[in-house]
Amino acid sequence: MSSSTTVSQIKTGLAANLATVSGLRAYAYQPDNVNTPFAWPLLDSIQYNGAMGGGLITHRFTISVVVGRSAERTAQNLLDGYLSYKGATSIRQAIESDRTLGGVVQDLIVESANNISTLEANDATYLAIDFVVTVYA
Amino acid sequence: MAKQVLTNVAVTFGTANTDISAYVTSITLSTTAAEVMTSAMGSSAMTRIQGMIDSSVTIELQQDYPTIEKLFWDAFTAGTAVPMTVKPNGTAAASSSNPSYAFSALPTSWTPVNGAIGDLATVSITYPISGAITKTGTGA
Repeated sequence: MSSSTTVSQIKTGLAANLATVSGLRAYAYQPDNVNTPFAWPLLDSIQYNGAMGGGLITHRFTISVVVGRSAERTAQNLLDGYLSYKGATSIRQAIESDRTLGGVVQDLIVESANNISTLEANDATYLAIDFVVTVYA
Repeated sequence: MAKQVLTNVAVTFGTANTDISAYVTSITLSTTAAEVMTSAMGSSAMTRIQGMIDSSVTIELQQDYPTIEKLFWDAFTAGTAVPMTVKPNGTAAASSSNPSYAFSALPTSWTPVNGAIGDLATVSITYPISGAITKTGTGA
């Protein structure tokens, strides 16, 4: 943990937690293909020196989830489940299901879900949502 | 050694010299001496000498129940002064650029739970020092 933990380990751990949501394709890196629903973590910032000797490094991630075509009712239903605090498809619950990411970090918390939006790709409009996650390594 | 940013203060606590550095976000080791007046009749200006020295250590810590909380809880309930060391530049041998300050701190308080929802659990302590601070290090 702490200064020996790599960003790759954290991304891999987040993807593993996301993969516990049935039907959700989870990636450690942004995928090339739009094959919904899928999710991946993007590192926003790192705060070094949270404690002496590299004792605490704070990472802030945005986990983007692309749900499906915005016009489809199934996509909107999926979004409802993903945004729920609890439940079989709750993204928050999945990310916090193992808060040490297999023992590589000290703790993490899903701060919020925001930026519900649409994105254009391959001549289609997709629903997307961002989850803000703070990871303490 | 030039001016520097503190990032690697080495702190040990307890008879087992437990290294708590990785949980420390801030530390202040402070020592003051009483001011004793020696002015007498016929003096035209106040004169003073140094009196008793009093020291304290203040630490901001990140909480970790199996390690930090247990360590400090046990020390607090034992009720006796605990050996501590502070070195400003890591665990390397004491020197003029990394002097070692050794002392005994008396655990007079402890806050097992502190924080708001969603925040990192932290704790702040200020302990009086029992006895003198011993500074070591070649050329220090």
